[in-house]
Amino acid sequence: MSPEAFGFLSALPLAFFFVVQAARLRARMDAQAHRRLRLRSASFLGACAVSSAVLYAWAGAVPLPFAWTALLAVVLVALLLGLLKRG
Amino acid sequence: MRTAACGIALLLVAAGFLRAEGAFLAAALPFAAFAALGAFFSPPVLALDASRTLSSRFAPVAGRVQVTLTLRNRGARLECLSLRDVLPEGLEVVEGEASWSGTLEAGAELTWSYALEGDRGCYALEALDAEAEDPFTTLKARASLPCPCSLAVYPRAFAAPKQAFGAGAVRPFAGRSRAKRVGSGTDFAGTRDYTPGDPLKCLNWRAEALWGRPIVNVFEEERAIDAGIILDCRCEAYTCNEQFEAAAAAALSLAEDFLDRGDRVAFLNYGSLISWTPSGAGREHRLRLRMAAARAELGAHAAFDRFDNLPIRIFPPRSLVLVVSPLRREDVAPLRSLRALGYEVAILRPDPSPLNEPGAAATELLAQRMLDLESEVLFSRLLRAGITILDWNPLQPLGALRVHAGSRS
Repeated sequence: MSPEAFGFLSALPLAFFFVVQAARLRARMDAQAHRRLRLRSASFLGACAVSSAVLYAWAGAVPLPFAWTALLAVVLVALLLGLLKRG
Repeated sequence: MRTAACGIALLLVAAGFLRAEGAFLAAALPFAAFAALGAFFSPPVLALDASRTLSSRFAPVAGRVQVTLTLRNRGARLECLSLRDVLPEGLEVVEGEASWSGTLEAGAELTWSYALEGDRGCYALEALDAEAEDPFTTLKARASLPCPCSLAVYPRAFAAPKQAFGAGAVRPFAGRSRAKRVGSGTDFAGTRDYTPGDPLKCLNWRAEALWGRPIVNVFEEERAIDAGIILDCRCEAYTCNEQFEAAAAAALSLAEDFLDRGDRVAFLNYGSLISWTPSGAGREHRLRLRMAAARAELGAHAAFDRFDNLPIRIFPPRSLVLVVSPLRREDVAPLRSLRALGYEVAILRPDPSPLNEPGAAATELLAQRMLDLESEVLFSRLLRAGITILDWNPLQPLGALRVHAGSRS
C-alpha cells in the first residue's frame, strides 16, 4: 500500500466521526461554529493523514528502528496538538 | 468518543509492539492524537448570569403563566450551548419550549419565554441547567444556574352559592351576611322571647297580649362577619383525589365569596398538619387564602385523625365556622361540641357518590344504599344540633347545592 493511501485510510474513521458530530450538533451551531468546526477538523485530519503517511513510509523504509518509530509518533502527536491549540 | 479512540489507539500500539510492525503505530497516530485532545484543550467556561420572571406568582388551575428567562454571557463565546429549565413535577409547558440551544456570543444577552400550566400546588422553580460543548474536542461543561422563583397554582374558583350565612357575633361594619339582631336592621325576621337587655322599642305588644309573655321582634341586617373555613385534609375522609380537589376548590370559592362580601376570613388546613391563615380581609389576604388552598394536601396524622383537636380558639367567639369535609362518623361529636360553644357551624359536604358511581352488581348497589343511609343518619344528628349542612355534588356548580338548615331541638 502506498503511504498516501495509508494516511488517507487511517484518517477516514475520524473524518466519519466529525461528519456525524456536525450532523448531531447542527441545531446548536450557527454558521460560524460550523465553519470553525470544518476548518479545525479538516486541518486536524490533514495533519493526521500526512503524519501517519510519513510514519508509515519511514517505518517501511527502515527495517527495524522500532523505538525510533515510536518516539517519532509521540513527537508528531505533540507537535500536531500544539499547533492545533495555537490555531 | 475520546475513550473509544484511546482504546483503538492502545490496541493498535499493542499490536505494533507485538508484531514489531511500524505500520500499526502509524495507524494508531490519528486515534492517539484525537484521544489526547482533552489534555491539550480545556472545556468551555460557563460564566452565565440567569434570571427568571413569571407573569404572575399566583395562577388558577389550567391558567397560563408566562415564564421569561434572561441569560447574560460574561465569558467567551459559547458554541453548542444548551439550556433547559428544570420544571417540578406537576407543571407542564403548553406554549413554547422550556429549553434553548444555540451559540451565545461574548457579552450577549439572551431572552426567551414559554407558557406553562399546572396542577394545584405550590412550586419552586429553582435552576436552569446549562451545557456547552466544544464540537471539535467534544469537551463539555455543565452548570446549574440558580434563578429561584415560586409559583402557587390555586384551585379554580366556582360561582359561590346564594346561601346567606350568619354568625352569632357580627362586626361593626356593613357587609352582605345576614345577621338576626334585636333592635336594628330593616327586614323583619321573626320574633323571640324577651331577654333582659333587649330594647323596649322592639317589644311586640300584640304578641305579648296573645301569648301572655314578653316577645320582641327580630330584624335582619346585613353586616360583616368573621368566618373561619376549615378544609378537611385527612386522607381517610376522602374516597378519591378528585373529591379532595373539589373540596379545596369549594373552600377557596367560599372564602373568596366571603371576602367579596366584606367579611373577614380565616383558613385552616386540617390534615397531616395544621396550616393556619389568620383572619383578615383585603386583596393581600385573598392571595394568602389562595396560597393556603394551593398548599393543601392530603395526609394522615394520629393526632389529627378526628376533629377533636381542632384549634378552635383561633376563631373569634361566636363566629361562623364553615367546615368543608366529606364527614366521617366520628366527626359528629366534635362538630356538635363546636356548635355548643356558640359557633355558627356550617358544613359543606362534597358528595362522594357522583365521583364513585356504583356498578350494576347487587353488592355495590347495597353498599351505596348503606352509604346513603349512613349519610342520612349523620345529617339528622348534625341538624338536630343546629348545624347547617350544604350537600354538594362536585360534578355540578357550587350554586346548585342542597341546603339542610339545622335547628336546635
